[in-house]
Amino acid sequence: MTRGKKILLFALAGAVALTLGSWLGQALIPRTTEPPLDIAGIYFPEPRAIEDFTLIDQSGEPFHRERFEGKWTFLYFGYTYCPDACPMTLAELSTVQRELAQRDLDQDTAYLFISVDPRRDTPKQLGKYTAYFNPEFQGATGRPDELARLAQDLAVMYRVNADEGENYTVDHSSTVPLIGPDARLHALFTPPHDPQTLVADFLKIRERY
Amino acid sequence: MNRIFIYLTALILGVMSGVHLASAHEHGHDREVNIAIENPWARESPPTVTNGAVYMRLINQGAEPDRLIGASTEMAEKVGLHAHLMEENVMKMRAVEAIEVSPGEPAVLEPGGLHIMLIDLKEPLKAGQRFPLTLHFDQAGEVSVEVTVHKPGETPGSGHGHKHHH
Repeated sequence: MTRGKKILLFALAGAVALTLGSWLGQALIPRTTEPPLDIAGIYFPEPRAIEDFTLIDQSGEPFHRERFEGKWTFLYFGYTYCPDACPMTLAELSTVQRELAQRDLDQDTAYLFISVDPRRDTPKQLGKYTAYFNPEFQGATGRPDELARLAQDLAVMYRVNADEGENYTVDHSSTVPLIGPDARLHALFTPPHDPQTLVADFLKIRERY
Repeated sequence: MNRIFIYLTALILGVMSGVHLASAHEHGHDREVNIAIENPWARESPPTVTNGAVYMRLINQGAEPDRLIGASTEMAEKVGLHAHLMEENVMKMRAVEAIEVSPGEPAVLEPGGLHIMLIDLKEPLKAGQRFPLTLHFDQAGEVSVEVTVHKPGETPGSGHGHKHHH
């Protein structure tokens, strides 16, 4: 009988180990019911807080964080003197806007171009510049310290190469930060930007919200 | 006698190369200079913007490597060759001295990469417009092309990751 008991004990131990193993496995491996969002960029399941800031919009009015509230905002940091990356990205974002509008999904979206080159870009100039790409687009800029603070919260980097003289260039992140209706950072779309992918990723993020 | 022969040869060669260059000027495409230029285009100037970028594909059909060392046009005060470096998603634009055009390796000037930058445009570039641009090559010399201006978003071959169709 002791032999039978031993076998039973082993079998029991085996069953316990199996149950424990599969339970642990389920606990440690992300649940299959809600997989992590796969986007062309970085998605923050815990949206990141943005400190309040003061920029100047294209009409010369102050632009604070609360303006982000209640809608999804696609952002892009650049400068109008930028001959290549900025017009390219703004054209891509314009395609995103038109695609969403076509599907009647754009009511709660906004698009903001922030110039990190306030020395050359006036708010008025930014208004004309952004409207050229899409009448829905808005422009803003501000004091260097305010720009730097917002950029930092959005993981955007830039550097004004003032040493290059009159026609200086500005290095800047080519990411598109996505702000949610809670005025928090939900995602960073990374280049190269494909408008169709941006639309699909945005819809996934909005659905998850 | 010898001297006359040399002069004559030089003259004939000179005339011939002149003819070849002329055909390059007409078509922007010449087997003698061995550099084929495909699809030169520029983006329309957004309001308030006084510079622009020109893109194209340079194909070296010869056996020897060549380099694009500059460009000139009546449209702008200055013209430069620029490259983009993407480092950790940060776009950096830098002037380059030359763009290598080696046989079998077309040099692709496209958004997000290399471009010819027009600095201080005399007037804004308008979609549909065409303007002449002279390319300066180390070996092939001067080659003139006609650049077509497109609206942003309607730019040919500007799609990321897409190959040009030719």
